[in-house]
Amino acid sequence: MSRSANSISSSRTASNIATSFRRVCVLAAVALPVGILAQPVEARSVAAAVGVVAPWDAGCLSYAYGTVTNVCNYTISFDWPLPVDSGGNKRVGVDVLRPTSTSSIGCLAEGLNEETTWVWWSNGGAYSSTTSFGASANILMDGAYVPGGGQLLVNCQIGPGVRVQVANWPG
Amino acid sequence: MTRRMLLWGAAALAVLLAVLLRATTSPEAAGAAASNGELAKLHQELADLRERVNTSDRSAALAIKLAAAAPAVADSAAASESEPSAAVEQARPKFTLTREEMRSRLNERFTAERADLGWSKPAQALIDRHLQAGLPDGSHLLSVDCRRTMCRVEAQHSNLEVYHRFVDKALLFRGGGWNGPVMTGILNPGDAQVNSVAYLLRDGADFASLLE
Repeated sequence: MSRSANSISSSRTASNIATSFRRVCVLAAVALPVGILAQPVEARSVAAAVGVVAPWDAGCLSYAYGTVTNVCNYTISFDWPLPVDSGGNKRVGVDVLRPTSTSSIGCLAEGLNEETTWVWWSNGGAYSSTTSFGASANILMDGAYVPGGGQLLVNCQIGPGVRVQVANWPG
Repeated sequence: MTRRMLLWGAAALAVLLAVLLRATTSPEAAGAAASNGELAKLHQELADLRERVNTSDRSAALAIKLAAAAPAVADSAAASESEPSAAVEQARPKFTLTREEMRSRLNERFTAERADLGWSKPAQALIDRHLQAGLPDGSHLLSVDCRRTMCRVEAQHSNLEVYHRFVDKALLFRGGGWNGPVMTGILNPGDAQVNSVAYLLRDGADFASLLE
């Protein structure tokens, strides 16, 4: 009798442990995918080679490994469309290389609505630049807003000899 | 790529958990736990599960009926409204605001703000000077007003080209001087004369918090 009672007691303990383990497993199975989905949006990057210039300046661009260099002796306007997955404020970084301290480069991020009738700029619409030269440097543009379904563009005014490499932004 | 790997990892973990779960409820463990009272409890659980399965079957049958009826509803909607197509609507992001919605939302936020004279007076003076210095022929300012975190500029332009010149030369601070974000929009796209509204936000403010 006592042996039977012990057997029932131990089987109940085993059952309780199994139930607790099952609950932990269910919680883990629910929490893990939620945690993965709650991660911040990953950054995207694209090479400068996807950007465009006015047709009459097409000969000014020299391409190498996705980078572009202005080989003309005047400044050219370079438009660079960046794909976006969702609306919101976009912080865009552009890697550039100024060969000398006098080389000029300025970039601007613009957000547009789907029908391109509304436009958003950061920093009052001013071009951002870098003082670094002789090595790759990052130009950061903060706060261009893109509405849902809208577009993100970067416009760079590329001076002679300046190389534009890659853009990074949150999708 | 990393997210896909994480999802695969999560799936693998879920499979592992399922295997472990199965191991804990193996026939040996169940046999050890099988007292008369527990057997009765198991019978009760089985009966509950059967009832749930029956309920699911009824819900599934209802879902199938609704799915069959859906194309008819979609067809009638398509017939009554020619644009945009259902496929385009489906592809459209969930939180897209129309031009009118954005306009009214910004207008509401602006009119709800009280003026902070410490900021609004110098901000308005700066914008006035900047606009007047670059205002092209054919552009006409209707109002310039600043509140606590934003300024609004309403203007009319004789055509689209003049509007673009206004944005480039009068509205934007290309050489610096305004650190906050700026936006401008055409209120009557397609018309020859352009009516525009622009908002210039205080440094640190952002449009996402106003529009989302």
